[in-house]
Amino acid sequence: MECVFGLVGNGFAIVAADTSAVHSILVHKNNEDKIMVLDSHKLIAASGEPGDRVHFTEYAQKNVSLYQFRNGIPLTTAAAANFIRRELATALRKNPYSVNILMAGYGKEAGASLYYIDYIATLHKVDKGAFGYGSYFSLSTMDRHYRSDMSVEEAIELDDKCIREIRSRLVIAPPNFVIKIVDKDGAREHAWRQSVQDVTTASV
Amino acid sequence: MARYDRAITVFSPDGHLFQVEYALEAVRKGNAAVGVRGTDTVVLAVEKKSTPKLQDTRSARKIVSLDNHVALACAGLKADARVLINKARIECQSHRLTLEDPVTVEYITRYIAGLQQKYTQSGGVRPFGLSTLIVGFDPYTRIPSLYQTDPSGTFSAWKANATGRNSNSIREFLEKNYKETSGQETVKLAIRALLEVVESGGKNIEVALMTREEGTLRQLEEAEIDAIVAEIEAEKAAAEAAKKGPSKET
Repeated sequence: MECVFGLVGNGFAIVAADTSAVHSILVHKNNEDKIMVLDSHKLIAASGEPGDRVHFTEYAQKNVSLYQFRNGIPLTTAAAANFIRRELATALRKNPYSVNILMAGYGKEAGASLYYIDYIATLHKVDKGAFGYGSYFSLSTMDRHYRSDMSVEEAIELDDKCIREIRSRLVIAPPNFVIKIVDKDGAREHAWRQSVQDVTTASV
Repeated sequence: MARYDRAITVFSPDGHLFQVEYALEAVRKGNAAVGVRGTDTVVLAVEKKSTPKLQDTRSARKIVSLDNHVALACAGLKADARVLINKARIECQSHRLTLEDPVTVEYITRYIAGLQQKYTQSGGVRPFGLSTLIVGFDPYTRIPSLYQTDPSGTFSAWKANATGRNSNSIREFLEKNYKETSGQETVKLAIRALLEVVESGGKNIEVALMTREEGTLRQLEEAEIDAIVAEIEAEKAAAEAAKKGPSKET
């Protein structure tokens, strides 16, 4: 029931992901950050097998860092997306990674961009994208309300609409979401949407 | 003697590995490099032998980052340096991936020295013809370090050191003039040491430093280096004048 979705606005790209770590009927935690900061201006929101998700995204992040040290400049968003796709494709017919990725990035020439990369190494550059059962609701909502030059406030409103839709219509809807944004000033966490918080102390 | 210097894996009767010693000769012919460790700053300064007018200097950087918090300068065969630096960069990221922690300066030095040693004990290969100076701040403790490796694969930590051309004179200067410094003073000490053997001027030396606050390598611009060189010359002139001054008056 993992939900990941994202969209491109005016000079920024925003991605939201649910934050529950689930194993069969047990919720391990509901503040698991599934959006990794790849480098200063790139985010990858990943969903899928938890082991594969962490392993693959960390591997991608370290390789992106290595490229930057070797060449003195960071990878472009498109290059990083293609690198990730290539890694997924190579592993696909041997030991595939079950990870779906939405990659948001900002580059000086390309501006803000969003890439849809699924677990069988499909790569699409998109304005809006989503993974998981939640995609049925978030994609429809985004199709209805999205415009290509949205401001950050409008995009957050649209994100909230999607989250409300997911919460009300998905049978086992994740309670909490994290929203991260990337623009010319870099990649950073923007907000959390929490309806359940982890219990920290037991009161007797 | 000549019979014992062909293959690297052969000792001479008096216990020398000639190939390693010849590699050290190659280092002695390389450009001078100086490293100084201060209390909150580490500095690397390297001699730039006359840059050809048409060359793009950015592609010929002699001081490189291995990771955000570790930098390296070397003297000797630059092509060998490329190979070692590449392997070290991969190891830095690999360490981060498997141990979820950045490398310590000692770790990566030990790794590079280990690589250099491996090539002194294998068949059909020659040693890397370079010595490296590695600086950085350890993660968490933020303790500054300066290490040196050489073609034999030995490494050790230093407060200040030099390698390459005329390294002995530079080391002598450092031994006489070293004291605990911080910030700009550390940079000045490194440049003063290098100027002992290099023609003065911003376009003849490349300087890079790392401070505990910033944590990443910063290359100094030519203008900045010129300014510091000017300061150093002024201080030297003042010292000269002070020496002559009192004797003139009497």
